[in-house]
Amino acid sequence: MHDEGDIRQRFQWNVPRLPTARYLDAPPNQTADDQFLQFWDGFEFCEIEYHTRGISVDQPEVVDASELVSIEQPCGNVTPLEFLKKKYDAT
Amino acid sequence: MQRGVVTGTIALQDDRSGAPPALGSPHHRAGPAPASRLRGRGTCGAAFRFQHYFRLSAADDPQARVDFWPLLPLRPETIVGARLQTGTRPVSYFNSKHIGELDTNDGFLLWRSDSNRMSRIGVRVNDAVG
Repeated sequence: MHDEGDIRQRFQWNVPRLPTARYLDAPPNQTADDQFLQFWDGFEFCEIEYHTRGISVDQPEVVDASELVSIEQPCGNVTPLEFLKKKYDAT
Repeated sequence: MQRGVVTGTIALQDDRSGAPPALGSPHHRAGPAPASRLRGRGTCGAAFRFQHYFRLSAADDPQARVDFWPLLPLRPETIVGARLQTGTRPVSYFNSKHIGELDTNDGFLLWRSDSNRMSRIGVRVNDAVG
């Protein structure tokens, strides 16, 4: 979510979440099998990423689908949190 | 109705070696999603669907496991976040002392980028909602 003048812009990325899947990534020097979303801040930009489950030679395939929704509206008196909640209600 | 054109590039590489991965015929699709979901007073926007199919065709280590991570770069000072289960917190990946304020009120994680933290946070799959 980002304000551009009087306009509040939002990207809502609906990504596949598989609670029973084994994910691969982990914080440095740690082990984990459940790291799903990550957010980066640095190098003059920020970033959102999501991970698929791990695949291997024995289980080599993954199908991935997501939906990215871009929305903007006047900031008005709506707080960022209200904007978030409104959008979730709308979808 | 407004119309526009979206262009993009899909580039795949091995995160460690930088080499193209040994993938068999990856398939990608992108297209507009139903606009009816964007209706609302004073609100406009667009929705897109993405589909990817990957097949690992070979690996030097037969025990190797790999994953894919689609990512979305955003401008500085963007607020990023996710819906979280009540009482859960994100995971610090590195530079935890520079992460700064994390708002987790009302079931939403909100993290305002300042573009210089050099920090990364993560969310466990069972801590996310949706």
